[in-house]
Amino acid sequence: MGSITLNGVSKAFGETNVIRDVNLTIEERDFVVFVGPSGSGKSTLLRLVAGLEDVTSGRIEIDGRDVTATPPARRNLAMVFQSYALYPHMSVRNNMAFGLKMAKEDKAVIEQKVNEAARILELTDYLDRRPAALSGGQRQRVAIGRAIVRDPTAFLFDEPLSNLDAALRVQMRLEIARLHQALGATTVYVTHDQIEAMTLANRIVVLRDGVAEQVGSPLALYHHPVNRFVAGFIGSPTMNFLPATLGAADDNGVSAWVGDTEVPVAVDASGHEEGEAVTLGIRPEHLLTSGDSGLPTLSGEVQVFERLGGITYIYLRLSDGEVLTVEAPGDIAVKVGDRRSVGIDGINCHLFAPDGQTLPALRRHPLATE
Amino acid sequence: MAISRERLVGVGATSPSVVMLLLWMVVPLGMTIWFSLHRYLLLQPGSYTLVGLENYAYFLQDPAFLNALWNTLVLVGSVLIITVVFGVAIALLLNQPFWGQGIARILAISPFFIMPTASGLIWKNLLMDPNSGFISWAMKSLSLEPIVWFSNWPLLSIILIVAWRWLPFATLILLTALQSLDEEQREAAQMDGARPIPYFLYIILPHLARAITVVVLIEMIFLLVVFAEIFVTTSGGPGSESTNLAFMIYKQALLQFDVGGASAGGVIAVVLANIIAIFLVRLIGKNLDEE
Repeated sequence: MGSITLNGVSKAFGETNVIRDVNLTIEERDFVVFVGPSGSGKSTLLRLVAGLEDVTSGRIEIDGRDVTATPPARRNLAMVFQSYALYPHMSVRNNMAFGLKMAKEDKAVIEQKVNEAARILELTDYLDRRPAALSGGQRQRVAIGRAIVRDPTAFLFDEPLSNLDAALRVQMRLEIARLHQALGATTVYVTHDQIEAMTLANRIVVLRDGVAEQVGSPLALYHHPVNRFVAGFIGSPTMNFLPATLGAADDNGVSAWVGDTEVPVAVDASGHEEGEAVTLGIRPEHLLTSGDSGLPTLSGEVQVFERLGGITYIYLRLSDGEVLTVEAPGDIAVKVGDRRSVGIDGINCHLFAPDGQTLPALRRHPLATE
Repeated sequence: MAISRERLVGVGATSPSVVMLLLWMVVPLGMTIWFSLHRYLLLQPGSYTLVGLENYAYFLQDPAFLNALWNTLVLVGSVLIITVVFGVAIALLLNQPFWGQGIARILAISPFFIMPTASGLIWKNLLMDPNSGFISWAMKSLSLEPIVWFSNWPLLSIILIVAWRWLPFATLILLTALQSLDEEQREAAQMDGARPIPYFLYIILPHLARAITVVVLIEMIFLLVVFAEIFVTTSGGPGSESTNLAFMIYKQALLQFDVGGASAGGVIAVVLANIIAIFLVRLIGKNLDEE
């Protein structure tokens, strides 16, 4: 119970295509996160699954049953909205019970389900309050409780944490992860925050302009992004992109020239020629600041640095004007204007063809399961 | 020191308006009470004698008084029910997206801007006239006996005219309230499987409670003193069938030339209005305290 299949789903508002031909299978017990910048169509896709919007073409199946034309209430899904959308004039108890009352559930059953949900969410003491008398985190939990009591096939979350402050957001994120482990229900979650996506999901769908750019586990997306957009979207701070030129290729990959530095990268460059302009991508956390490592180096002038305590971000301006973000230890000695060299290990580098596609890696990262 | 000076400035700045308002209220009220304690007939200009509460006793014992009080309550109650019920219905309709929505809304609101005497005359001569009125023509076209509105159904006619004027007001306030209903709440109810009628009863109506309270309180202030519509149509008749308290006081003062008695009636009306207002505010005013 709890699989959702999207088959060539498209949605257009007038002339504007918001979702283009999305194919996706969400397995039972999956925690799938739709992530993407604003306007990427992630919320629309969720609303299509919920039935709050009708698809323009394509088919949606829940547990193998075609629900494309089924109204939202009969899809047996529960949704947690960004604004929580609690009914302000009802007590917490009635907010949670409303869906069950509408389904003409037995009074005693409703009572028992609401109490059970309240116990799980630690809302028992607040059952008779109105939403206005609750804190942001409590309202959020009521919204989740309203979803739980209906015992749905799947939970849908539409940016549920974006109205909370930073500390509460971390706490609620953990709580949602804990709930998913406890209930084991299929969950579809929309967010623009890639940390939420990385920490909660077992599969992430990265959307851009209504197209599912890549679907995969968080670490698969981190280590093997299929194109430059996904590479730049996943990871914080964002990946460094440097213009490079392809060098000679052999069985161990291909060398890429960044200025005068030769970096051997373990990717399959077949179909690309020596001398072709490509983009080399490397994450700030993969650049090495510690002395002589025997690796190829890039050097530049320290423009700015940010000390976060445990780590320091250094912004290096290279000789060609590119700015490189480097993650360094928290206690590193650094001054603005210093010249520094950083070691660059080809094993952590990605190469992107001019059209943005990633040159396929020769070896998969051991943690990057599909 | 600083505080007392600030307060002095505050008192100085507000006192002109407070004094004006006080004069505006106290002087007419004082004069009304003063007149009500005197025998003061316009037909006997010279005579002016203190009679104590005699005018009050006379007014309260007048059989026309209970009749007028009843008519007032019927008028206020009926118009409130009509405007709230139909106001909610029309607001729901106008809140649906349709072509020409903007114009339809303006048309629906416009009766409120027509002055009561004008609308009273239009209803009397163009719509409800038993010979040449539009309603009679429509009924005759359907081979029905035309209704002689102001002779046979005087109070109902007044209620219809007044409700026609106040319905747009209720619609306007309720429509604004409807538009502030959270879109995600509507969708949450949709996910919860609320069909139209439960959705209306459990989500929309509670959301409108505040707006309905405002409509009832404001309309009541004006409906207790309806006068122009009665004056230009039935003149309170036939007999006193469509006489409310306001019109009865007018008759006392300017048709029977009894200023003392009319003043006593005025004071009684003020007291009654306050009693009703207190009950009503107690009853539904708690809606205004929430949130």
